[in-house]
Amino acid sequence: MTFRFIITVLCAVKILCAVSWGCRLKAPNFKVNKPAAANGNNPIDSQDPPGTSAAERELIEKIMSSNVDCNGAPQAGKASLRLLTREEFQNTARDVLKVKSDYRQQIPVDIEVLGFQNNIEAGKISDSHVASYLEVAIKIADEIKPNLSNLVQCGSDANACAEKIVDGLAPALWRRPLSAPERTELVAFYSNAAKTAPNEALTSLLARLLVSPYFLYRSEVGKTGSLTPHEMASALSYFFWGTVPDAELLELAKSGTILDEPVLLAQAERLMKSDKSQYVLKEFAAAWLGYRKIYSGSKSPTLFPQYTKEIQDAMAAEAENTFVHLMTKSGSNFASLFKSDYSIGSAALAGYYSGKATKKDSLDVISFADSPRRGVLGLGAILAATSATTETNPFRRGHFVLQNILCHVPPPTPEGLVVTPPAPDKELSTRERFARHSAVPACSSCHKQLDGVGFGMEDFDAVGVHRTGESGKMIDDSGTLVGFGDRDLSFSGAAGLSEILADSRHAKRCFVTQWYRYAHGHMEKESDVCAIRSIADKFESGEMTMPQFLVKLITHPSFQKRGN
Amino acid sequence: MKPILKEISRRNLFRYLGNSAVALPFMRTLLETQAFGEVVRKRAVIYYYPNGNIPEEFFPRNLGSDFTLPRISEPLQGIRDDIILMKNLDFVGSTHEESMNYAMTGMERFKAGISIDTVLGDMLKEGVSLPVLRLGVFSQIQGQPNYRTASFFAPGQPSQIEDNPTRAFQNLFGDSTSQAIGLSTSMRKSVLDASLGDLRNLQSTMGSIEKVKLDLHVESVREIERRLQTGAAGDGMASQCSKKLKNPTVFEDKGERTSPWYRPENFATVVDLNTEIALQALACGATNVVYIQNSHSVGSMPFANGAPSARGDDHHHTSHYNEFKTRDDHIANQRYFMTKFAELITGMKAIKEGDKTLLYNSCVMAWTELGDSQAHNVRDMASILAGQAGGYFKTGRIVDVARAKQNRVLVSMLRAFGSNAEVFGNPSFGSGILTNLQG
Repeated sequence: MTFRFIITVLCAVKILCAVSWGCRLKAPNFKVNKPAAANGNNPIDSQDPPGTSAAERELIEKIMSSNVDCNGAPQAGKASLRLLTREEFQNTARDVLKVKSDYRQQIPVDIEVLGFQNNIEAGKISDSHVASYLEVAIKIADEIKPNLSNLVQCGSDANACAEKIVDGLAPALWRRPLSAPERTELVAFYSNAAKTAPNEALTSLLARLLVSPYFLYRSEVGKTGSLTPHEMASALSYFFWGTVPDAELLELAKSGTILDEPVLLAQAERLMKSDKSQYVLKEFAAAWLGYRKIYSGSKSPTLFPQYTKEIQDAMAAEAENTFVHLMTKSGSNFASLFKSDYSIGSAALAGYYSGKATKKDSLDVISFADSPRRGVLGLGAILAATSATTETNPFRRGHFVLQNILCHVPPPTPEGLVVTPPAPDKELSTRERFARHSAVPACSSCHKQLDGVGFGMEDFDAVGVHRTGESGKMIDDSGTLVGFGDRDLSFSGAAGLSEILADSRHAKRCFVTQWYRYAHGHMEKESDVCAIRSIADKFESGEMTMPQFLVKLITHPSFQKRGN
Repeated sequence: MKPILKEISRRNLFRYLGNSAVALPFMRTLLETQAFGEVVRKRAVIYYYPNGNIPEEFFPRNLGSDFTLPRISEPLQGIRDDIILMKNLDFVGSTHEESMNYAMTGMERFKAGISIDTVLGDMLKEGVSLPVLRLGVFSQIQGQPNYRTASFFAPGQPSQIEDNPTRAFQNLFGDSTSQAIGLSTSMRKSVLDASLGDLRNLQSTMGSIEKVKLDLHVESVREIERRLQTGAAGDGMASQCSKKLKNPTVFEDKGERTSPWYRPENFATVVDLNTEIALQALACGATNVVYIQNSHSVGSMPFANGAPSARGDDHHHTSHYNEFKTRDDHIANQRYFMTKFAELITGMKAIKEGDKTLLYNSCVMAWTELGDSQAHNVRDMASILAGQAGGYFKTGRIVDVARAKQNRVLVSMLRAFGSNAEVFGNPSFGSGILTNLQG
């Protein structure tokens, strides 16, 4: 005990520690550095990781602040080409070409930015992308060739078939009508191929359609400052359902009436109402809550024998189904995301949590009325994904809440600081071991915020089970939310934190910002601030249900209008 | 052996440099590079192993050529004449993942940069179908995305790495067993040409909108066309070019939640297959640059008795020796990677090229992201240089690089391949070559 105390004191006075314990300082007279500023004021040019530059923090402040003059501010989104994600690519091939094989593993990996897989800046095509797309295109062509008659009315005349493919499949794959020169070029492409390599001509034509930038990118560029009817139809369809527009949307795009506001709203509502909108809800949940990350880590089978593969799968299902339910149930609202005292989960999972398995309109429901498990912070998948193999990680949990729920990206560890995780110690709780690090002055300025949240969630263990004790002591789950409001807010346990977040202005406006990022496919810029504010103001007022919020987001002028 | 003339065009540079002010000095030196004539084709291999090392169990006590390898580096005994170990080498980073992102770019704290494999690949792509072959084992799964990334094809853009060796091999040499599906080379070129036409039309309507994206796309298509033109694989330079695998384990993608090449019981098989594939790719002249990534920082694959295993202890946990398992356990685990690295080097030495060997004509660099795994620092990095790069490096020695940073190792590599570069990545981390690598 005395030895540890001495080391802590030595570290606190910035003397180089001789042993690996806590924060090791590389050199004396250590100073905490501010995070590096972005190159220039445009966050797009920043070389810093997303969210960490001073310019980006300023934008979040503007979104959160009560005093920003947005009168007459233009609200146009960014003209962009959005690379199809793996899911979107597969869904498109499935719905247009009726492919049965799963090509997702052969399509390049989506690059994740702050949780999102659909970031337009990250969605760039390298040479290995081109090679992969070419191979997949050829494979798809070979898969569907024998059954082309299912897709186009095709007789035995291969040339006529080619024209049917051009007229039928090309516009569907490219998600817009062909221009006359395009049609001519495609027909000529086939004819040339048929002359030089007749056996390969059809495959070439199909492959040529699938490696075109017109297929690989979803155009959200606009004409004369607004999305075209076909772009709007595509945008709605990929947003809600992750796939090409259906016949009804295509009709409205063809006539142009999709851009009439009542029609646009009605279509957005139709898509949101359909069960197929589970697509967008699950994709957003994966980005916002990171629940799929439980598959990236493992848990100690000796410490957590109950955490089986089945439970892991059940948790992932619980996270997505609960989010879908809370977003679409009657009276859906922000507070219920954090305060709901039940989840949609299996009976096995109910047993694992010691919750009560019940039913609600034929849905398997787990009731937590008798336990302190509430909302998304009570989802096993989130609690497990923010923990390590053998124990919780309060810093990671704090980071998750700050970054994902409150849109505050903590600054990176100061330069020159060597980060060492705390050694195991059976006599100390996780909180006690981690608290040593945070007590060091070089660390405490940031850790005040991280720890305040993370330590307050220690009432749930590394595999999402509620606990009252650890290492033979009572759990100390007292926490503080620092820096979001007029004063620091104290709470007890994850449920206590959830109470605060349910009513938090910051959390609500962050939720809107996160959805804006998902819908637009990029981190916000100066020109997005007023649009986000106007949607956030309405969201905060509580006038909209969640479906209404999503409809508003996707039909908002900032989405329809596009600038450079 | 054909001469290699390399002039780095402005257009290629654009693809790499973006708007990075930091890269400007690099740009200047690359532009000053003269076309050089080399008689022999040089190759580069970069080999990553996870979770750090234990310096006192890796580095011999003394400098020079008369050294005794301690326990972790002991598996390198058979290749000791062909390696250089660098004492007092440092990386930059506060965490596993910062160091992972730094090691091949020379850029700190996740700042955007292009990595050495991409640069070397572009320098050496004349006459090969694939500028860089990137093979992984469990490299694209587990953990956060930035833990897994060391290679970037453009600033801030992670390179794709192939974790399925079956697919990697098929992409290199084609699937000789299946029926002829697919398209001929000339038809593939037509398909790509047509996409270039689409890109041109799109660019003309877009003006400055998404210019960077479309320019990069055009470059990428042109690169694949160049590859098609060069042919699937060059003339095998050695009888060792068989375009066949000795152990043709086939990993099929049946759309399962855990693909077979990601199952722990197959980890070791994938490692061995990657070694074979790398050797074949180099022997057959399919590429001049190979990057092998064994897992990634904080890699958690199970190990038992010093080898990958279906059930075992988390590799990363064990690397925190004295906390979860023992020091001996971590030593045993890292001996595994040393053994595998030695097998790769031995394989390269067995490939004859005239009166020399593939290894002689190559520069190989092995690295890991932490210095001492327990202390969690980035000092005394257990990197290994192997091969003589056509006589540029003098091997069989332990040298002291006096706290130089990795940036200068990367510069030394570039210079071994004929570049005039003085800096790589963040210039404040040092400039110039490490002269003692040359003897």
